[in-house]
Amino acid sequence: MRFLYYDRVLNIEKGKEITGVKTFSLSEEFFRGHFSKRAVIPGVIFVEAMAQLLGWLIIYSNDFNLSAIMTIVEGAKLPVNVRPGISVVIRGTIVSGSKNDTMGHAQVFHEGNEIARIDRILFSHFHKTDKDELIKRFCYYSGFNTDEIKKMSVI
Amino acid sequence: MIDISGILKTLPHRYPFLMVDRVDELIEDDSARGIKNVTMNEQFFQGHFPDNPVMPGVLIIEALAQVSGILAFKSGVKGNTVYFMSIEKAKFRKPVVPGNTLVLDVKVTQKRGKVWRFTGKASVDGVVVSEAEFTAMVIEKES
Repeated sequence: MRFLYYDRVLNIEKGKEITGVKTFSLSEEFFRGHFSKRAVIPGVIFVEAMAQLLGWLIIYSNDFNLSAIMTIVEGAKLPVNVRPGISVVIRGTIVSGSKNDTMGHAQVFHEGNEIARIDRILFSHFHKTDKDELIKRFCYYSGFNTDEIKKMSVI
Repeated sequence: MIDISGILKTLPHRYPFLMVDRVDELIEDDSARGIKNVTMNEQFFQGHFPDNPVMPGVLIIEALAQVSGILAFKSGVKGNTVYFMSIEKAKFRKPVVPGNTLVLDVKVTQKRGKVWRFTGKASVDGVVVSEAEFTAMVIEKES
């Protein structure tokens, strides 16, 4: 899949927290254009990576009965001049939620040091979803076994 | 008007991470308006999402930042690269889909040496789809 910005989910805890890992390699397509003479990780890619993991945490926490769309980002700090070859750990946490949306925050760590963060990120819930398809995608992208996830979430 | 050749001379961004096609208006040190045509042939639609193409919000913000970069360079800033430092606030109001033309309006709100602050609005057919406040740093020529 193109536009997937995490490689594996390391840990997921319903309603609370998710951690994932993302490695950056020069072979990724966007490095061709960012920039042509010097590969630098675009800051917005870190925002997307944090949003993707938090999105899955929200979906997982609601037993795959809804999808989540990022609607507001506040207080995003991004690193300047980070280059391919690194591996980062991304942690997303749910702060609060209601029937219609969920608020979270997220951080990106490189060798234990925070290099990026989002203080507040809001997701709107979206109810028209294909549950089986969501489970399948989550497992495939995150490195989980579909049967395990099905057992964990009440189907 | 700055066409695509002018943009390629101004920004270091290239395919597949160049998110501005044309700049129609530019007032030095103040504001600029650019456009980005959104087509199904964009790479990111392959995965975002497999059967529901929606332009990723972060790329709309990136497009606003790239227009801001052009504005900074055309305002006499020396350097060749603009980096995002922070996004104070971004809102994603409506989905942007293939066939849309994004109109990207940016305005300088603060300048402190190499660090510039902007507000930006992205619209489709006169309706705001996304807005953001962000800061960027202009880096002097580097190897």
